[in-house]
Amino acid sequence: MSLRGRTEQVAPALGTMQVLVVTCGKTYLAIPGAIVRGIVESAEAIEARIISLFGESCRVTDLAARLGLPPSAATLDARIILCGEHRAKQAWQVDRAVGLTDVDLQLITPLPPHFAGVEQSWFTGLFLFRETVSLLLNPGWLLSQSMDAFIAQPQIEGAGADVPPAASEPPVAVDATIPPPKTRKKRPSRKAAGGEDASLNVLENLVLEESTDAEDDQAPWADT
Amino acid sequence: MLRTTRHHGQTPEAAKPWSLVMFSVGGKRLAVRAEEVGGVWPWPEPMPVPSLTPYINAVVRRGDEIFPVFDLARLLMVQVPQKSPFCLIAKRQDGPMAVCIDPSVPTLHTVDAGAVRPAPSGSTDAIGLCSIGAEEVPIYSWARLGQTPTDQTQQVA
Repeated sequence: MSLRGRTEQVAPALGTMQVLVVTCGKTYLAIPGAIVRGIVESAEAIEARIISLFGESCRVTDLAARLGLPPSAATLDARIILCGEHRAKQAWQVDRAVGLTDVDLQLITPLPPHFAGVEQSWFTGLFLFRETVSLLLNPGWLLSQSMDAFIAQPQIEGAGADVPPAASEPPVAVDATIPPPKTRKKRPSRKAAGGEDASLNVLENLVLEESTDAEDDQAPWADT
Repeated sequence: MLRTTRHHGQTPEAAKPWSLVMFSVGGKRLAVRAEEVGGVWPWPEPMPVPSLTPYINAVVRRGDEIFPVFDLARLLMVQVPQKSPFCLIAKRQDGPMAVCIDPSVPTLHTVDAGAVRPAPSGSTDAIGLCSIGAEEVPIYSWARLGQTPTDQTQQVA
């Protein structure tokens, strides 16, 4: 099945931005296509929550939980979106990959000023998408979410009234909660000792949902 | 002469009656000034927006317009009935917001300015109280909603 929404046009038109629209619960999120490197649908990878990306291990983060939404459900539609640019790389789990679409830059509006919190740095804007609205994720924020950042931001997460108890998700939740400072350093090593290496071995040779597309080398992953 | 003109201009203004829109949220009656209401229509399906801003955590779409949602029910600690609620558009300086209200049609009332009493000292959200029929109804202003007492003090200062 193709993720492409368009049929006639192959190259993105001028004045448009190519985005991959995904869902986390009822929320539609658009990831700029320029940073998407692949989509993984392996249930094994989703369960293991670690993946090999460009020869390096990369922890899979639940995007919903990171944004304070109810954590993603483990369904057949779940996908891991591999994002990367230069040396930065991230793997995000989402509920569903809806499709690839070109958005007219003029139709992207900023997040309303009523949203006065840190969410202004999560999203660069929003746009009308089908019958609903999609939030445009800030690629800089997506790629800068290092494990250090997860540890540094829990007090912000805690301020959210609807922040779910993310502790049900082993690797991500540990970093998204508010651990006492002394325990922060221990958790990654404990996970590594507890089977992360084994998971890496299993997943090293995962075949990503990539395909070459001679007509559109900006998004070779789009036609799957 | 100028002084007289100003005096004339102020007195009728101060005595000008208030037009209030009364509606209910989770069964709780409240009123806002009519000029702060931009419309009422059926409640559309909201899309949750990850947010750390208190009471603002979704958007609704109406045609090509997108409105942030202010969760007034949560502020009032009540629940709006799930079946066919209404959407009230709250006009605020930073732009309109959508507020989910009970599925009963809001009513327009005119009260004398003198009949509006100050809100109880403990109330941070209501700007006043008035009697509409047999009911004592708090009057809210969208500009103040969701603000902490500190915010309000800073605004006044």
